[in-house]
Amino acid sequence: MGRILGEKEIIAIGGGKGGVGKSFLASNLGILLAKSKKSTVLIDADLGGANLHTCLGVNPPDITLSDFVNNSHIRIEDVVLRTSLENLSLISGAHDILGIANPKYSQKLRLFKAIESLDVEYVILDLGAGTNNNTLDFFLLADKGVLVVLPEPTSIENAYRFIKSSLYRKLKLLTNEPHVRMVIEKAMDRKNNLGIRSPVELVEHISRLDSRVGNQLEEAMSSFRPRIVLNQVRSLSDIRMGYSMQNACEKFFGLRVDFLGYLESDDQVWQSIRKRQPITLNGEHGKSARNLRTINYNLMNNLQMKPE
Amino acid sequence: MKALKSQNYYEILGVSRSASQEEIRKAYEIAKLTFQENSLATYSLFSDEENHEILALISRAYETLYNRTLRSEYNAFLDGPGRDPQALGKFRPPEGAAPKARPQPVRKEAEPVRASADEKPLRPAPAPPRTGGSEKAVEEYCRKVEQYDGKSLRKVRQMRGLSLEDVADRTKIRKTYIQYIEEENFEFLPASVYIKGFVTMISGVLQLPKQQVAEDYMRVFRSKTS
Repeated sequence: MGRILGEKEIIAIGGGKGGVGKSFLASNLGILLAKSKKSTVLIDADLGGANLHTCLGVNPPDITLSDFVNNSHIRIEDVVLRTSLENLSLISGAHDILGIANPKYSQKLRLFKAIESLDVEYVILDLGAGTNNNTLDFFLLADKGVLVVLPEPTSIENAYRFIKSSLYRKLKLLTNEPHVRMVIEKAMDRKNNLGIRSPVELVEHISRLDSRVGNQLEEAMSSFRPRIVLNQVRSLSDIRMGYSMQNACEKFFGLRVDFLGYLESDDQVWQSIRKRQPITLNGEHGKSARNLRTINYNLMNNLQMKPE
Repeated sequence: MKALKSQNYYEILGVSRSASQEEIRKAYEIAKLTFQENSLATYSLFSDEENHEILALISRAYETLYNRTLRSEYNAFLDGPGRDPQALGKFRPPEGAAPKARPQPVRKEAEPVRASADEKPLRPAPAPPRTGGSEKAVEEYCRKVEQYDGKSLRKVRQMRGLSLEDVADRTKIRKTYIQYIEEENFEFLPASVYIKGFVTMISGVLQLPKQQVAEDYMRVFRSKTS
């Protein structure tokens, strides 16, 4: 295969809000990659409410991520399940035990190390809803972070909150300086008394306090590049929302955000979810399958959509 | 990525230096939608006022870059040493081209301009005769000022025949900041302690009573931001 052992790409699929199609996108990207002969493991990183096995048409498995997290004798390879597709395996999330929803720090560290040690070409992390620290840490662990967004106010707001939370967490974890961390913490609150409203202003503020840390943060910001996928798109103006979000993020967060593509609203998808089958397994020619290929292509090649 | 206030027109529109006319037009169309009132993409990030500001900036960028003549002038300008990318007095859109006192950056929102073939290239407005900073006139004016604010700072600066660049040179404060201070455009200015420092330095250059000006100005600041 000509691949250097251990060299892999970790992709996280998040979005802040529940029910926007994270698991749908994650499972289908996994399938696309597996079909193009890339060994891929899908990890259900929704520690509270896993459902990825359902998206793949797999029955609730006996051994899950929570077994790995709770038992230090179990190796990560032990919880990897085969799927009906060659090259695609699955690590199912905890679907019954609540205890794992909040793993200890050491447990989390062990899990992250194990994920990085998996012998595959691609790891796809299907994240849970919300912006709790575990979810953010998974997102930051990934080489590429994708947000699934619906073209509607609540979902967009949640996506922005997710971007902001993960960025601030990334910046905070970067430094041990207590005064810098305090400023970042304060800045999370929009109505902070430092007058910091956006990450750009935060970095400027910190640069004035400590130019070395300021440079570090600036560098971290330039390497942070979230991707957006719009789901359930119904019109041209829905699609434009992708470019608009990109635009707004650039101006507000000072971040480069890539609009990877969109998924048109599709009855076929709805039916395939009912049948517990991923859409690409059903038909290669439907619009969703086409949409997915575009998203996958842009994601793999570090590209983005261009306005028509 | 740089803060908006230090971005050049290409960065503001999110296009490359080599972007085609068509790409510039599309980028502008999207930006207009993004920052319009009640836009889904921006309502939770920016206030209406900020959206206005950004849109004005975007329009200015578009008007400059979509016009071939202005664009090449702008490119030359950008390539010049140590230029403030937004200090573009001479890149005013046509309808803003009415002769003004000095070629200073225009902050008003200009309507989008359709660049047509017969459009005449803009020439910088002629510099006004310098007053030489008649001390008497300034004194006269200051006596009438009840509270120093952005407007009166600008007025005194102009009476002294100083450009924004001149003040920026002497205070080492970024030109856009001086401009924002005169416009009382607080959104893009750093924290209030810095503003106070800036105002003190500016009033020094303008030979105004520093402490009084700073106190007056901060009162204006508080009344507008609280």
